[in-house]
Amino acid sequence: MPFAKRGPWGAVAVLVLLGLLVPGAAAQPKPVVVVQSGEAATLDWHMHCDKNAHEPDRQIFDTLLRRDLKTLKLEGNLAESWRLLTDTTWQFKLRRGIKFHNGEPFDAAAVKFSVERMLNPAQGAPGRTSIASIDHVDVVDPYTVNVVTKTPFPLLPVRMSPGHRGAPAIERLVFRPVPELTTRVAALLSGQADLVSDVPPDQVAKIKASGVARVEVSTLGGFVIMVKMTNYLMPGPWQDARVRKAINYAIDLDTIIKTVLEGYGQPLGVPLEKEAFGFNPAIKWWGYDPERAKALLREAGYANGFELTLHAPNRRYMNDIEVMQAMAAMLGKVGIKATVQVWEQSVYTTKWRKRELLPAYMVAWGGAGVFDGDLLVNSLHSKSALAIHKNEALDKILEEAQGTNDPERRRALYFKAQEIIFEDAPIIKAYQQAHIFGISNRLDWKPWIDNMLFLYDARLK
Amino acid sequence: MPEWWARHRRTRTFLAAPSARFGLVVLVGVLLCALLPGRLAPADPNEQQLLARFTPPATRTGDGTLAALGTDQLGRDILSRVIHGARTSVLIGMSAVLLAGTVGTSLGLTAGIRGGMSDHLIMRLADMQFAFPFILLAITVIGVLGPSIRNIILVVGLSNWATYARVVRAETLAVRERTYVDAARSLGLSRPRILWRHILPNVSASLIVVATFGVAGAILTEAGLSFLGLGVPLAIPSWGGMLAEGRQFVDTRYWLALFPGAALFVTVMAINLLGDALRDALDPYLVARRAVGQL
Repeated sequence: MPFAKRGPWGAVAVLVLLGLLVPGAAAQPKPVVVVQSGEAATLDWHMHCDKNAHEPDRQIFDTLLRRDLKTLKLEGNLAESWRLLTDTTWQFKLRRGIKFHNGEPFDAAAVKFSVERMLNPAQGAPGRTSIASIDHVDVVDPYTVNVVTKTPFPLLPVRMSPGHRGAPAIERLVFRPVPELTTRVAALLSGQADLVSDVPPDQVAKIKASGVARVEVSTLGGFVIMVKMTNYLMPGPWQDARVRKAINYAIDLDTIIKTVLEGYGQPLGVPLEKEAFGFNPAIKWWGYDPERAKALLREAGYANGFELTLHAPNRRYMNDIEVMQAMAAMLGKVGIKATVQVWEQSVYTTKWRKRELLPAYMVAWGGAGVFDGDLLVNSLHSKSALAIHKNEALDKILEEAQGTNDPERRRALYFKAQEIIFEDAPIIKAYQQAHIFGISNRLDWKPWIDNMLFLYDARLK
Repeated sequence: MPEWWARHRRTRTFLAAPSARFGLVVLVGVLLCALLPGRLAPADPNEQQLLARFTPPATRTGDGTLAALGTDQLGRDILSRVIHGARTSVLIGMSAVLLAGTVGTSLGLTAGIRGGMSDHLIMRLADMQFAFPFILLAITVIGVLGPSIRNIILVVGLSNWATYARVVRAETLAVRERTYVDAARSLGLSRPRILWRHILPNVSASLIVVATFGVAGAILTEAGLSFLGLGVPLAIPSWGGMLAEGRQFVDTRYWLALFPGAALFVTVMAINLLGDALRDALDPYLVARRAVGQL
């Protein structure tokens, strides 16, 4: 994630790729228009964790490494090669001849500036924790850089590569916020937009039948959605692991996905993709078993049920309110009186940061193309942002895994972590949401593996 | 013609208008739904049949039950939800008007009878109330207190008192100069008694008309707030909430939004027609002219 060191906007200067200068992109009559659910608050890559900002950012900033789309393996991008020198030192050799759009060369100093800017606590970058293991960056020579971590940090290359570079064929790209779902689809069908993400499932048939646009679905690397439950921030039956397991057994997630999500999702159990390193296939995650749920509730002393508030976001994830309502109705069948409380988007975010969405709330993680058990740290470590659950054994294992370079040892630790999660049930279910894109027929593009809009390789037909 | 019928000239005038009869019939229906939703609705309004979601109107779901108005995105019976929604609308409409009417009438009477400083103060307060944007107030109050039926009644009620205060004050100013009020005063009746027995009954005609339109307005406001997600909680069926949920599917599954929308439309229209007819019946000038015309 290199930034320019100077320039009129200082660090927010934009890296324009050499690819942009490649001739052959003929003058286009009309720009390609992407409609999003909202406006980006900032385009400073370091300063947000917001999908609406990531989408335009991905077209602007570039990364050291990237993932091969077929094999999911990392490959060089702005860096030619990289290797582990010692347990805590990663060396990157940089590609030569790349320039920022202000003509400044891309070199080791730029990498150092960029990483250390994000690392600086005073900068207040929301994604800082994901690279917090980095201690400092050493410039070896203009095209060699050493990244030194405090403890072994096997995920470092992954953190350096959430993107990909290609030669853009599209000259002008416009991002336009359109908050209303159906209006976004209408814009696509009327030719005012070329690309729409987060298409609701019930609109798929309409787009397919339109003749002017098509639907592409990407299932891998989508959001992993879960309902987090607290075990210490609010007194109540949910402090008992048996009750939390009972809640999981009471919900028929397969039916919810088949109906409410119209099949555009897959149940996971744990907030980790099946393709991820460290996913434990041996665990049979809590299935639908209302009798077992009732037995667990009886055992825990809640045979007559209790009241439970589930906090839901308002159209942040696919049919989120309906998923929560369906869960609440199923909980009602085992005697738990669950009510769904929907909050307006900004209120939800505020309450979420203050940890006021208790005892349970819906949230998503992932989509960053990490494919590693480390995702469990983001979602379930008690010190992670927005965590409301505490399990010291789990914390310890996840920390140990984060500081282990040996892949077999790490895998074993993540397997163990998932066994703890299964017994502790800190979440209500977890499922992966497919991402549905509506694409104008004049645009030749397929969704990327991590669901982020990445349009370097898009072209007009 | 029975004697009481001959004597109730206002009632006759009122019922003479076909629009009033229509309004009355619709309102009786809506009130019945509001009072006995459990008896009239064929199903539990919150019962989900996920496998029977989006059943079109007048078709049978998988288990053979007839979904007369179809089912929604969670497979809930829309007819049952519309019937139960009437209760929410009527409850909020009436309570909000009762609250606004009580507050507004008390303040209007006070302003009208006392005059001077209190009059000035109350009327300027009313001006401020009129100048304040309602949606802003609603978002603030609901945001702070949380969405619930009680809070919606509070918001709608307290933001409409000024209308009642103005109407009642104007009527009071006229009525207090009448000779029977002078007579009551010279008999030594207390001010509250004069207000209650001699002034209030004579301003009530205008009050009833304003309140009728107020109920319609409050029902629409509740629907609007629910549509914006500031309304009643999800577990309570409401027409505005159903409209909001159905909006997303309006081009693919029309019935989700059509029926609650139609219920809202017909109910509000009925109340407004009734209000018109009431105004005509209670307006002494109009009634007298009709009576002359009949002679």
